[in-house]
Amino acid sequence: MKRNMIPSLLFVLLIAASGLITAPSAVTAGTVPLVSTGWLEQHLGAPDTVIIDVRTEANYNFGHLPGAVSLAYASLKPFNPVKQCQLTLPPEEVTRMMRALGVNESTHVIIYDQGNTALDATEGCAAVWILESMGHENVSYLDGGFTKWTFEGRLIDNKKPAPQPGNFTAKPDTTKVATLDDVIANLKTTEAIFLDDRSSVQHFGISKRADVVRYGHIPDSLNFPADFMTNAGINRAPATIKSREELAAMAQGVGLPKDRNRKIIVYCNSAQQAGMGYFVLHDIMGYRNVKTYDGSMLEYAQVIRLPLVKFAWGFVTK
Amino acid sequence: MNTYKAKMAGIFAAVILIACSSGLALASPRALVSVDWLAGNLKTPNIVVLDVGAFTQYERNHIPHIPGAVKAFGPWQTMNDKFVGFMMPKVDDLVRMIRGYGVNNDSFVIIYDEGVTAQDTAKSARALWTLEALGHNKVAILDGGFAAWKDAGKPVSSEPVVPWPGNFSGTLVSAKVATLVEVKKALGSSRMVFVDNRLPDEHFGQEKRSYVKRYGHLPGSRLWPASFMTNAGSDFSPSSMRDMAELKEMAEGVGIPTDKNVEIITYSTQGLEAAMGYFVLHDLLGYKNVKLFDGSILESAADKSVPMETNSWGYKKHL
Repeated sequence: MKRNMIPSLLFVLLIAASGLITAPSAVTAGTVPLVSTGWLEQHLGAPDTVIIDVRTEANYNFGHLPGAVSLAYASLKPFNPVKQCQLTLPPEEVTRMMRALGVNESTHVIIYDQGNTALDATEGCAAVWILESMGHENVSYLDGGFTKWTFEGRLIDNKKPAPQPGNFTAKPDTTKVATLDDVIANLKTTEAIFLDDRSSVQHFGISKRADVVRYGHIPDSLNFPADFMTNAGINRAPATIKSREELAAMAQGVGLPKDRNRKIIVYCNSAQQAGMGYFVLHDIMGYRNVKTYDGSMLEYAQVIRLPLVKFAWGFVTK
Repeated sequence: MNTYKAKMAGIFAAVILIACSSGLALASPRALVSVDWLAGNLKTPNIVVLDVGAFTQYERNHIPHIPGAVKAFGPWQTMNDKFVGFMMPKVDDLVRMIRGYGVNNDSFVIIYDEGVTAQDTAKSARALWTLEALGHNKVAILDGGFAAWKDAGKPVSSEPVVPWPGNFSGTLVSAKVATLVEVKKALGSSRMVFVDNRLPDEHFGQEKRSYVKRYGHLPGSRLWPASFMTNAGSDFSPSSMRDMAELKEMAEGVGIPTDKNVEIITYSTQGLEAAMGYFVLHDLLGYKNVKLFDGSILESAADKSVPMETNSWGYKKHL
């Protein structure tokens, strides 16, 4: 039994390793969207690399990956009191923040989060989307985050690096962000597929987040809960991203076409889960025309004249 | 003069009759009775009230219940002889058990449960389905169960009720029960509508109960979680049934054809939530051909020859 296990284990490792090396990049040539903890440990301290911890500052202060800098996810997408929803910061602000963290135009940014639950993973993935939408394409996500790192017994520390100010300038990329106007226009043209990354119960209109003012989903949305995209679940952690094969099966299983050129608008409550949908579809699976609806349901539901469907699956209605 | 009076009396009576009958029809369908209706009919001779709430053997005579209600502790479901599936007990055992609750062939059986969660209501639905599967159609569920009864300030009693055995004589109505063999055959034809009453996570194959052998759903099945069918939520009770209009909307929204003659098989993990699906589709919405897959996923997941799909919604449009 044991003798049999060793070659098969080696084989698995080999496949895993080759997957990492040959992983085709959907973003920029040379950037792997998903990096493993093992890879990162070997590349700690590499030149022109910035590791960003998007957990809360309190968590960061308690202990973080060696050399990582702190930028809590909430500060990238604060609550906008005028629009009453969470919107991405204006580009000047992002520029200022990124420069303070030492990010240059050429820097390879690696983002990690708590990585324990699927919800944790949405923070890091959404941060990847925000950076890409601000024109920084050389960005990777640490698979499994802080939880996998510490599960594997890798070192953490609590030293705060003092980075040299960087020269990055945010250049908003409108091909990656959908506004309320885009969404309204698409209701008529139905050119893009709406993809709802909230839980199925919220999609069906049985429950909603307290600060979302109406129940239901945008007509004809498909439902691909962000929770389904990681290996975390009841009694399962860390929240590593599912394999490409599984993600491809699921994309088809929720009703997405195979055609990687189809236009897709992903949304959820605050664009956090949708950020994960974007990351999985665009960066990992190679769908080319994916936009995240920044205002998402927090904004959309406020406009009472806009249609919302409840007590139905968007993937069933004709 | 006399004839005039008689005429007026006749018209009056007719008006009352119409008002009453329409009132009854509006208040609740026959298979679902309200707390007020039951409170007014507790003394009606042929009504038998069954409490299917969970309780231990010790507690069963001491915890409060609706006055006159019989503790119907079952078992309504037992392990089958292959130890897969949690299924309908032997008909003889069931008949004896139901007689013991004082049910006669002409009894109108009202079933209730704790009424706090949708899972509670499912227990009532399972007992209702069992009676209907034994050919007894005069059966209804108390809307909102014991929680609604208490919320309405109706009287409760801790007096144990020991009924006189009834003359209930049921036989199995095969049109109510779908067996594994039947399910396998039906999976090949596109005519049968399968309805999955589990949670979306279980349907999609993201989660499963530890004792279920495989992930996923029967190919092509429509997803309609039983928990969507009542008003209960994470912080809300009683678990009363949703409005008829809402249930109808949902049936369409999950992809069930509007034709009431369509053939339907409901299933869940162990045939409990599936009974909710049966109750709503058959008794409330009036679908005529609804069967419950008694072995449900417990049985089909243990049989490798049954196809099960994961990582997908069973029934969807294609873009």
